[in-house]
Amino acid sequence: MAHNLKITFLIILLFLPVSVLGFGSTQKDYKADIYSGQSVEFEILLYSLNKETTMMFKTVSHPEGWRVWIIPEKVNLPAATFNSEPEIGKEYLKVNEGYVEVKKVLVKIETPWDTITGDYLVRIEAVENKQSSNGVSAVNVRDFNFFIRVKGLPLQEKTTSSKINHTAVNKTVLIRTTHEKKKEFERWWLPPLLIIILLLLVLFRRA
Amino acid sequence: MKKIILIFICMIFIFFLISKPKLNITSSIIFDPQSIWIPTIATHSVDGDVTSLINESDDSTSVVDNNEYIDITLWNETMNPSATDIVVIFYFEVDVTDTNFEWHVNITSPASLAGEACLIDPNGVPGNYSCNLTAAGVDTPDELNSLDVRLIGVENPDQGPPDNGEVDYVYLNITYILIPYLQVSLEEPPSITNIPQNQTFTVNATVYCQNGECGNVQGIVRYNSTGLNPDQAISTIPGAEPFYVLEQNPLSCPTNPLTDGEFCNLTWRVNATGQIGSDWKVGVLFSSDDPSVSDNHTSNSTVSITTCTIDIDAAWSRIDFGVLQPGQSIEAPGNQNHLYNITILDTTTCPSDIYLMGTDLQNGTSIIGVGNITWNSTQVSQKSLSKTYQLAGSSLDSGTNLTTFYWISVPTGIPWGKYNGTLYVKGVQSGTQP
Repeated sequence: MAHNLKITFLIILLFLPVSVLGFGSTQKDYKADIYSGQSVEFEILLYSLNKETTMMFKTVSHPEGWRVWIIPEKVNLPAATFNSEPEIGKEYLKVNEGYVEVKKVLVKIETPWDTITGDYLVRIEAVENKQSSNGVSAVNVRDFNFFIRVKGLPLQEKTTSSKINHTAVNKTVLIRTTHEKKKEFERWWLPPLLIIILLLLVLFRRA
Repeated sequence: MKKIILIFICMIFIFFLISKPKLNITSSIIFDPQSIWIPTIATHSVDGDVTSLINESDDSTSVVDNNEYIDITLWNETMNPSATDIVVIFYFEVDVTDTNFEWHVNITSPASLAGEACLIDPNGVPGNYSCNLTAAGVDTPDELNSLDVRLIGVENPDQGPPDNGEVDYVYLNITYILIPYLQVSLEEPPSITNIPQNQTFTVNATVYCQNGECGNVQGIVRYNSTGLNPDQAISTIPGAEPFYVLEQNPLSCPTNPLTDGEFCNLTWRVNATGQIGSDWKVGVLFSSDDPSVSDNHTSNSTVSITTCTIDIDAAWSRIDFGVLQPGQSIEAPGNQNHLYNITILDTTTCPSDIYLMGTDLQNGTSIIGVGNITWNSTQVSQKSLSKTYQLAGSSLDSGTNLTTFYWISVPTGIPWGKYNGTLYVKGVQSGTQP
């Protein structure tokens, strides 16, 4: 009886669909405005839920004369799980109702000094690292496109540009912070002092 | 007359000074009038450990001769770090003492306060004597928690034997005030988090009421609108950028008012509507309606808004046509069981397109062109696979299964055998060219 159960369990296991192809990916950013001669960096975030896989990255296309670095070009993705207690300092991606730790691939793009103002595209491709054997192997492929707008005249000094900073910095928002409230509290004596000064002024004028 | 008016005005000013608004410190403050600390490590300069002798108010005493001393380096209590208005009195009971015997109470730690705190001369009268250590500078929890005292016996002037005193019970009498405070922590999101644009994430924070009654406590989830740290409440208006909450903001603790030791956990669902590539600091500010309880902000998490996540999966790794015979046309073995599913996992956050591309099949130097493989997402018709990407499914929502089917027509004039090749499965955000 027990033997039969074991066989049944084994058969069930054999026919259970096992995830053998797939990984998740996202880009921290996909566009940047830079001056010719500048370089820009992007990050690709990767994870593979419940199974280990390896991805190979390569540049598919870029404008002539541009230089593109992919670091690293080969990425091993360990079998990731949802983290119930994420660790401080590690980077996570919100996936469904949980957080999964991500691996990062850095893409650095350098433009030549003589790049003409305009919009450019750099394409990166990630291919699952798998050998062709026993028929037709299915391989997962993913594209990552980066849109670069080169603007204005080349700068005198070669610099590395950060991506477009979307973080709002100029918004005027009136917030009474705790600190401000504290300051207000510390200035309690101002009104009575002003009243006294006014009274004194009136008094001396009459005199 | 003018002088009288001037004096009157001065009196008004003094009245204002006296009636200066004070923080409303009422019942929520714990006032501990007497906390007694006793030594747990006390060492006589000659006799060694005398801890038990000086902790008992009986006949067990430690005898201190001229110029000998007792070092007290550990106490049985520690002071709450949030305590204020600390007053520390050092007491020691002397059972028998030489008429000329006097006692020096020295602070040996913390180093910043080291030196003589008191000189006490009982004039030969046994009894309980005290030294105000707060007058010598011990008035913070840190100073008190690192307090070491040296009690030195000195016969002044030295007239020879008998020249000693007997120390019995040594202790500290401490008074202090505990002001209640909010101990806060941010549970979610993790300290560095990426959220695909237009996705919802959870902000979860906990507040503990410590040291007394904290009143009615509320939390407000905020982000950095203008500076480096959160300074703006996240909007509750749907579509607001860079975030909006689906709940109320602020939220009140459901068990208000919070009592000493009570905690409350608040959760907001936040939609990340900001621009892709933007980074934000998110945290929660807790406050109480009791003005004596200070606001407290959690640590912040950095939230980066990213492109959509694409996660494509398959439960198969290859199509095994087996040993191929010249001229035969065969169906892939998994077609009948709908094996060749490509799944847009529910972790994908935007509609996706699936493209397929193949390579020629090889067996040594023999090649079967990729066009001999046909495929489709239905079993009704077939189209040739090619070396450029072909659309297999478009605008597929997360959770969708795309079932594919494959066939091969083996050309004549090639050797029989196993042929190997590759099928590329590419997932892109819907509308993007592969």
